[in-house]
Amino acid sequence: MKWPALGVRTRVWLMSLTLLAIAGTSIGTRLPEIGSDFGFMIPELVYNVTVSQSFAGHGEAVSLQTFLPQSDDRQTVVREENRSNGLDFDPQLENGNRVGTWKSTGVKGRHSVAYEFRVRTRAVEYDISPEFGLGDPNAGGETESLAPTDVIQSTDPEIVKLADELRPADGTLISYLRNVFDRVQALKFKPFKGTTDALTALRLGEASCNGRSRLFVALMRAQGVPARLVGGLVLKGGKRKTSHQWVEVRAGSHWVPMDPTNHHFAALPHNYLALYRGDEALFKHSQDIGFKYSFHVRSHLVPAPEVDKKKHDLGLWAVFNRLGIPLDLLRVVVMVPLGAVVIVIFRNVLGFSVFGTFLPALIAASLRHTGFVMGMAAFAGVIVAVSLVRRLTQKLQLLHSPQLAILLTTVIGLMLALAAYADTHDIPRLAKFTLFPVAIMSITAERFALMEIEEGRKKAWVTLARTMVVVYFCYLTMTSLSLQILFLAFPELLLVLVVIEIWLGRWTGLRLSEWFRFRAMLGRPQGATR
Amino acid sequence: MMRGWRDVLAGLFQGPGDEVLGMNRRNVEFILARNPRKHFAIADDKLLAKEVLSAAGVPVSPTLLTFSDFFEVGQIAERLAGHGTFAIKPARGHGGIGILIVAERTGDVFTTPGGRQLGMDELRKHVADIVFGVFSLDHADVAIVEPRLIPAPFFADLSSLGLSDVRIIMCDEVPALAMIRVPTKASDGKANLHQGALGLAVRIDDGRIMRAQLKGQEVDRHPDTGAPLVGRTVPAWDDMLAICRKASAALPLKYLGMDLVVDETRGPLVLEINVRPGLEIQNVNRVGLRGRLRTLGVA
Repeated sequence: MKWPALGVRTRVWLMSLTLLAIAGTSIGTRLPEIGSDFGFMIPELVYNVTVSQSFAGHGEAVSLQTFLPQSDDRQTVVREENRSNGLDFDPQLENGNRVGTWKSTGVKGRHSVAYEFRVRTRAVEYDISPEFGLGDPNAGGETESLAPTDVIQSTDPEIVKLADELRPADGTLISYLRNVFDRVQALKFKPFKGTTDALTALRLGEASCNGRSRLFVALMRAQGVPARLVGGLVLKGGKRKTSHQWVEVRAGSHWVPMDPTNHHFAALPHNYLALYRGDEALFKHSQDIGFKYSFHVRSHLVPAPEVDKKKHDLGLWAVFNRLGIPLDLLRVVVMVPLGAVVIVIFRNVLGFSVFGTFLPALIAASLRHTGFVMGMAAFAGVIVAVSLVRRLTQKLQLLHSPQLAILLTTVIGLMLALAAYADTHDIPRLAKFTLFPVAIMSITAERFALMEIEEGRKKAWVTLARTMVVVYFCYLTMTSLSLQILFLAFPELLLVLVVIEIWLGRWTGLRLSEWFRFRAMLGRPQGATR
Repeated sequence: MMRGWRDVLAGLFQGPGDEVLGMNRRNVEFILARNPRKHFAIADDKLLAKEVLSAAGVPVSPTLLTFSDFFEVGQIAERLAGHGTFAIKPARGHGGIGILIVAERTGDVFTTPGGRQLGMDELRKHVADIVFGVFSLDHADVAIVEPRLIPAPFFADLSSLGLSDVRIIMCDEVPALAMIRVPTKASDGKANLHQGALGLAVRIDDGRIMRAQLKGQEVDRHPDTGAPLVGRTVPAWDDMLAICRKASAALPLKYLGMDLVVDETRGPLVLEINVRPGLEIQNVNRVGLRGRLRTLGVA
């Protein structure tokens, strides 16, 4: 096709407006189906929780029991996976709780089971109406949440006496809750292991979460307010062994959460996971089996559930949904052009010289598996190590292609070594380093080595550091879940990126680095040779 | 309204930098607008350039031999027989990389001007590297053997370490800025400013050296010899300008950096033409190319 005889400027405008018109029309026609509320594009925080239990069998029957999460109005269990490693697994509903039991007859040696699930949680906050009074017959009449037990001694005279003291003059539930909450909070915190009953907690004036919770429940029940213990986890990233207990109090038709240990009054933050209700032990197991357990929690951002519902209206989502292309791959691939824009801005506007043209975007895409710090450390390490090999082979005076092939082999070798190291030291993120673009890393290592030789060590290291800065900005942009969802929903935005590139491609201003480079001439009378 | 906006933007992005030519503007308004891509080959390939230039009557350095494949590389010993001093360079090399100069030959031992000695094997390796494209980021290249040029007295005075060259920026066949690049000990005999060569600003009008710069700093004497630099006048400057005008008239490339050397016996020769001439010449001259071209009425 021959361009009509137009000036470059006109062509640039024509092309830009055409692309914008196409993108705008396409988005505009699909918009009514998607709806105008884009709140669904804000990603959600979800937790991946693994409950691991292990034991040493001596040939007799072994049984392990723990509670499995259930969905309710503040937590949604999305995906569950049981890894029982040969043990029989039996989930049952007991008293409203889900109980998982793993059984085996005659196993020997150390065994482990793991239960992994993903849960979406939200923070809650309740307003308790001042109309609810104490001992209100409408407050529900489940005897179980009113009756005294061996460890929740709600009829003990000492507890009853305290409950009467704390009973407010106005007789409202809310005032009583306040008084009890303050009183229980005032207990000293002691991280006791094992069970503390309500009375002991009161007498000692100190308790851990379970002692406080039992005292709280006992004081409630002493005034005829149904209350129960809740056991679960406070979700924090990493591996830990601490579980937590708090309380729920019946107010009208709702069970309202109270955590006198962590000071949440009629509220819970998003990172609480309830596993069971009632005065239960989280783990029950056969005796003398060297039982160990741990919770491993990871948090991630995922698309909001509405995105799933709207998938069919959301451009590429619909296409790859049908083709079965993994979402994780596609949402990064679609971001590479945006990474390229970031690189262009760094190169042409700031005047940042980096290794490779689009290397930073590709590296940033690979970093999604390893995380930024781990991935960059491994990347820089490999580049520098391979450049040392390059300097060694310099002495052999090799031809170019075989030379590069040796570097490629070295990169692969280092990756395998890192993967093996990551495996034995249980660093799964480092193992993912093998997904980095091998050929690009070899060429980068070669350039790094040549730059060291030809332009000096300083220049090479500065360029490597700059490359890492640009990778960081690419990574920030490309891993933004909101942007990923936006580009997958509206792939037409790629045309907008092209328009941005066109204008960056015609931008003739001085680069930031050139203001520095030509500073001697800026704003001064010109010319030795004028 | 529109006008005001544009002024604000222009002020923001250009400001006092209005005189200076930056990389982006050089690429968009000069290289892309004046040097059609299809003609880049002439600048990128020294053999082709020499052909085009000689045909137009522009003096260039003669080609003694070429090596274009491995068969020819294998015959290097026979083919170099009878050549005592010479320069080997890649046809598609840039910035002086891959150039090997032999100043002295004793049997199969070749000595560079810097005193490095090479055997026939090392020479063959170098030529093979050239042919393989190591210096040209390409998969194949041609090694050119030319006579070793001896600088004319004025240039020999400037530096005994290597060949000084004259870079003249030609825009629309008009010479805009000029400088001489003088090799130093620090630059390892290379006429490359980034590697520590001296840059001498030459006034286009009369060939007078106005200013000298070494690694970004103004100097007035040669760092190795102590010879004064500023105030001297390049001999036969008008001849050089005439050569440049003739060359750029013959070429379909209208924004060029022309590199010339003045040989003792052959006089001024065009050594290389560059379609992407560097911008450091502005710092050497302390003159912004953009303002300069505007004054000349070229751009």
